[in-house]
Amino acid sequence: MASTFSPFPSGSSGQKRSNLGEVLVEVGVISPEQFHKALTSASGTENDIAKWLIDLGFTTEEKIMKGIGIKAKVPYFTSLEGLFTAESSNLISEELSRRLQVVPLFKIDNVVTVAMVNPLDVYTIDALSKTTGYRIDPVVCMRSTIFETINKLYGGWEGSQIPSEAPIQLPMERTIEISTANDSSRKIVVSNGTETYYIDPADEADAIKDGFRRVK
Amino acid sequence: MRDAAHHRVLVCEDDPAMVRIFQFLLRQQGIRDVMTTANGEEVAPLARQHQPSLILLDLMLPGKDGVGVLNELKTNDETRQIPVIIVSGKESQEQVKQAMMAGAIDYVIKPFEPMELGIRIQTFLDNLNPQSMPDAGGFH
Repeated sequence: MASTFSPFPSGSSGQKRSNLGEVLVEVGVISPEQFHKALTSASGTENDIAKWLIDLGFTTEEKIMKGIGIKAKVPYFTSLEGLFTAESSNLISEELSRRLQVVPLFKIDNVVTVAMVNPLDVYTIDALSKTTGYRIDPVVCMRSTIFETINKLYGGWEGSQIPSEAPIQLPMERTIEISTANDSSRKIVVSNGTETYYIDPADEADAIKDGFRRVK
Repeated sequence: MRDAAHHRVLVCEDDPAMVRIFQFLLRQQGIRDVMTTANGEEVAPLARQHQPSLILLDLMLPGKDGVGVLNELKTNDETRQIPVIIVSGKESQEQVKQAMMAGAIDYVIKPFEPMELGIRIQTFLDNLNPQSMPDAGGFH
């Protein structure tokens, strides 16, 4: 493995990071050999590992999402039908929902349940919590399901097609917009020109090895 | 047939996020009287005391495993008539068979289709024999 850096959020400072490939091996979605073959095909970085694992026929998007759900210990759904109502759209604005690629489902007591691709994305969860004023409970589903449901929930709009560049957009492909992320006082910002992340200062060396540089 | 609002459902699940999902699905069916427990040991005593119309049971509960809970429910005169739907990630044929042999009326494997589970729950409650349904104050 070329380096250990991954923007896959670590949760709290000092906690071991979770690289997607290692997570999928850990939960039995792929074998260590398949991981290493995919990693070789991906030129040693984990950025496209999900795409390579699927392209090489080692697994499916659905199994990857299920694996993420198991690792994150959050429920995984193949369909969100029955988990939202027209009132769900009042919980989060359409703009924020599309930008963060999340679906507000329902609120019970002080908790809003939200469907998202990556339940380990603490920055998105933090942003949603600050915006709504409620605790956020994530559930996992496929990215295509997220977009289909957003279109149903908000009525859809012309620019609402699922981007075609990748069948799945996993954490390492996500761009966390600086303006939406919170808790910036305890983080530094790194970017490789296309992706920007808040990370712990202790992770800066690993980030630099992977082509990121500190921008703030 | 009893109005959904008069049904009480006992949700036995140790994942709080999943509990809220069940609560939402049940509310969508008009059921607002939802009791919950995260411990297998508590299921039978709660069922005896509160006589729910339906129990949703995860097989992987701390305290006592789901099949053990089912056996306890089905061998007690006060709880044997309460329908139990298993909702669990366990999915081997043997596990499904064990649960059904122990008296479950249905077995739903996670990840389930939320809308389908909601319909199944509603169907079971609609088809309950009114004479076998407990009143809110307890079944005698």
